Amino acid sequence: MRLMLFREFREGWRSFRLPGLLLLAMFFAILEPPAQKYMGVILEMFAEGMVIELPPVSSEAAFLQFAGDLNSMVLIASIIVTMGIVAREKNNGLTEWFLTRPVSRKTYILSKATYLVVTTCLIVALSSLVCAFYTHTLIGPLDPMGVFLAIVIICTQLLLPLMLTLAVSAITGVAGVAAGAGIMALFLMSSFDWLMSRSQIDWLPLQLNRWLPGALEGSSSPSLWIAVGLSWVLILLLIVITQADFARREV
Amino acid sequence: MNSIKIRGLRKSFGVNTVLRNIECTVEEGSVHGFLGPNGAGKTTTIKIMLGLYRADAGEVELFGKPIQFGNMRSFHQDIGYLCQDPVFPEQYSGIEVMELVAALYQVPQGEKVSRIKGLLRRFDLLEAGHRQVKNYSRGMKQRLGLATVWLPQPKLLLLDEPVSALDPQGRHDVLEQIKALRGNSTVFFSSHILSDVERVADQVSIISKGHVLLEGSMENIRDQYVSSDFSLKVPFEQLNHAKDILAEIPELTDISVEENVLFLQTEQKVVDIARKKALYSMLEADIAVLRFSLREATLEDVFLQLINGGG
Repeated sequence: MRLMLFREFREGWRSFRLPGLLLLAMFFAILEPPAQKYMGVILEMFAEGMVIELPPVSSEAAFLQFAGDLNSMVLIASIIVTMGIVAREKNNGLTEWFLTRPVSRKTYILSKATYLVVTTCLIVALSSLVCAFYTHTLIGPLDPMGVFLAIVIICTQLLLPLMLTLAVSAITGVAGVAAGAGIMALFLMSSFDWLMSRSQIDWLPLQLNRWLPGALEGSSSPSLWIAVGLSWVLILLLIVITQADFARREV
Repeated sequence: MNSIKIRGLRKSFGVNTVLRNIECTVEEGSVHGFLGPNGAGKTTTIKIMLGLYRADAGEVELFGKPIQFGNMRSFHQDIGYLCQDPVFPEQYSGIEVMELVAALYQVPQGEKVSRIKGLLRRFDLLEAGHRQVKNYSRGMKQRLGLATVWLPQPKLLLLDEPVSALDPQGRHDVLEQIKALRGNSTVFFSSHILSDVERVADQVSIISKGHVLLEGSMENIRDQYVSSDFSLKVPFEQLNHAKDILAEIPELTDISVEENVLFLQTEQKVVDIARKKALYSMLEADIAVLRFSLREATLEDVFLQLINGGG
């Protein structure tokens, strides 16, 4: 398992997939705090003679903007990178190469899932810390506990569609279908969150987004932890289903 | 003890039946050639043995134990497999691929470096070892594939067309190395290049359309199958006369002259009659027979006889 995981990291790093995603997340981490702080100035440049009044910029709002970027742009890029994680290797014969060495099918899938979890958490954590630090310098401090909670929520949000992409990539062996599934999950998550915005139910895995503003201020509720817990159950379930399917699939 | 035992193996992909009834036994320490035309089912058989495909029916035993689809890890520790067009992790160099294989097979640390160096040298990859594998030519990839298969010194080597991408020298060297493994490891290799198999194999299985047409040792096959070609040497001044007389024998399908020797070809089923008639006609015409011999059957003769249904 350790060997296969190391192999994933080495391939991810050398193929520039991993540093590429990290750079993209860092770009938004550095872009959002000044963009939020100087939004008024920027708008005035384009609307000469008009008086634009914006509410005072809060550090939470700047960070939330960054979280939105992670949940859309970075997530879409991650789905594109993840779509071939098994399908590409199945098609070029590398899966066959590994499965004819002393590597079990379970280990093969588990190493890929672990790689996804670790890299997603790493990218989200590093870029969030950079964004929090920059926001603190430019606008004002953020509650450290709030940033930690936000990192947990964002990681969980990103991993749900990414794990679905991995599952579909392994089951169908078609990268395009895997990407479609991941994008559809992203679309469903935002639609569901909007549809359920007036409902009393607030502990579903697809409703994590609504907890982000509160979490940034350092407040959490049992519903948030239920939503996070259920999301991780879903993520683990997806890994188990993928492993079970892959174990009986011809390569 | 048998390294491989296959009984009644069947496999279909949808409506396309690839294996109908494959039976094969491979003795431990032997070199076994698995022959067949393209599409005969060689690769499918190997992939079932490796647990990549699930058999519809039949049994495969490796080292005396039945294999189980999807659960082959314990078997793979003792198997080295080389596919027709080897692939490797794209971003790795040749040396890194070897190190990865050594780690996967748990090659002892003390032996790892010397084994890797030795194999890279043996397969002429020492200089290219630091280059990324994605920049290797097809022949280099095949040589690296062979080096990775040799590295863990497995009990069983399954090689699917192992020399198809090599130049004549590389081909000769690899076949010699396969020969050298006899007695230490079992080698099961598929090929449609008959001369390669003939050069190294102790035993041969010939398959076609999902059936095993013949299985046996090279020696038995040569004894069992005779060629339908004769060579006849007569005095030079009587060569043309002899050729004219032989041309009247209907059983002889072709007569040619090469370096003052007559080569006679006939059909397998009338080989005895043709031989008697040819010799009798020479005696009758008072032509001295300096040499008359039946050419030894090559694997190609056997293969063609079997594939064309003449066996």
